[in-house]
Amino acid sequence: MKKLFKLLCLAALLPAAASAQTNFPNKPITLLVGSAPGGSNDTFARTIGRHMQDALGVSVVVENKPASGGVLANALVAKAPADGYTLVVLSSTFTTGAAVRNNLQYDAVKSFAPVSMLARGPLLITVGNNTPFKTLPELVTFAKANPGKLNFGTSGVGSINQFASEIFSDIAKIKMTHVPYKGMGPAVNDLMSGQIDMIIASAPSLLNHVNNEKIRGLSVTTAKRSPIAPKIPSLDEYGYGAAAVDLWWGVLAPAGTPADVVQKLNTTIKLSVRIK
Amino acid sequence: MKEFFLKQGASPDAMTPAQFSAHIANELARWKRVAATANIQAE
Repeated sequence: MKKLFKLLCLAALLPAAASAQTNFPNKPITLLVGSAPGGSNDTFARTIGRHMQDALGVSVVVENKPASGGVLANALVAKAPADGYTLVVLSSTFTTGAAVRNNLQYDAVKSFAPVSMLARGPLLITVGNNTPFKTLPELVTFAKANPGKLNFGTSGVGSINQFASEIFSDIAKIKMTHVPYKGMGPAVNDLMSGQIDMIIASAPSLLNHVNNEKIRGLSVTTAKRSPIAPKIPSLDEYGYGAAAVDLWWGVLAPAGTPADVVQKLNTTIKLSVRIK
Repeated sequence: MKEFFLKQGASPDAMTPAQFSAHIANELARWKRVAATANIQAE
């Protein structure tokens, strides 16, 4: 941490950093989170918040705004002063939500100055043990011969699970039937009991069941294999790289935030995610 | 942090602000196309 602090002090002395905003930050920074404490966005915010505080020398406060399906925090940051002191920590549901909701009080692209991605990970394409499919091409061959016969479960309409399943069907040129559930838990139970055939969802929802051989993992949804499940093939290996999808977490500032402030936050956050 | 990432099934991946902006804009355009083709509407 001391080393990081020294690095940042050095960086601050470089003439290239000189500008009207070199005194940033000189007051507390607020990280808004659109969910209640304990979720992944909240944990990311609290973790990077601690590192930012050490590196920048001002307090960094996490504020939870778990209203309006999580979009209130985004709206508040879109309207906040564009000075780098109010930021939002969010995940890839930011773009899936913006694609299906037309009542948002912000434009997902025009209202924000993206600061930095924090992390990304794959979803897993899984099938029930009662299906005959051992590889992704076997599933595709069956689905092509039997349009609409395979059922895929999701955590709901408009979820990342549905987007990932639809884009895979589109690229693989197959038709499957959507079964929306209220959350991933019941969907996974129905996959294990054979009520549905396939689920594409995050590793935290599925990987344990794959490792315990309760379901089969056919592919990760990223172009390359993932370090979290290195034995599971990637979409590129089967020629479906165009269907690649990842989950991500990141930090956004309001549009119009000065470029040097965004850059300083980016550098600080980049270092904070690399620290163990 | 590493343990937390592992629990999320994610790995650290920082981008420049410009790369992250492009990522968000591309993804939004792609999801809008998928939402239109698959007729996905908010519940």
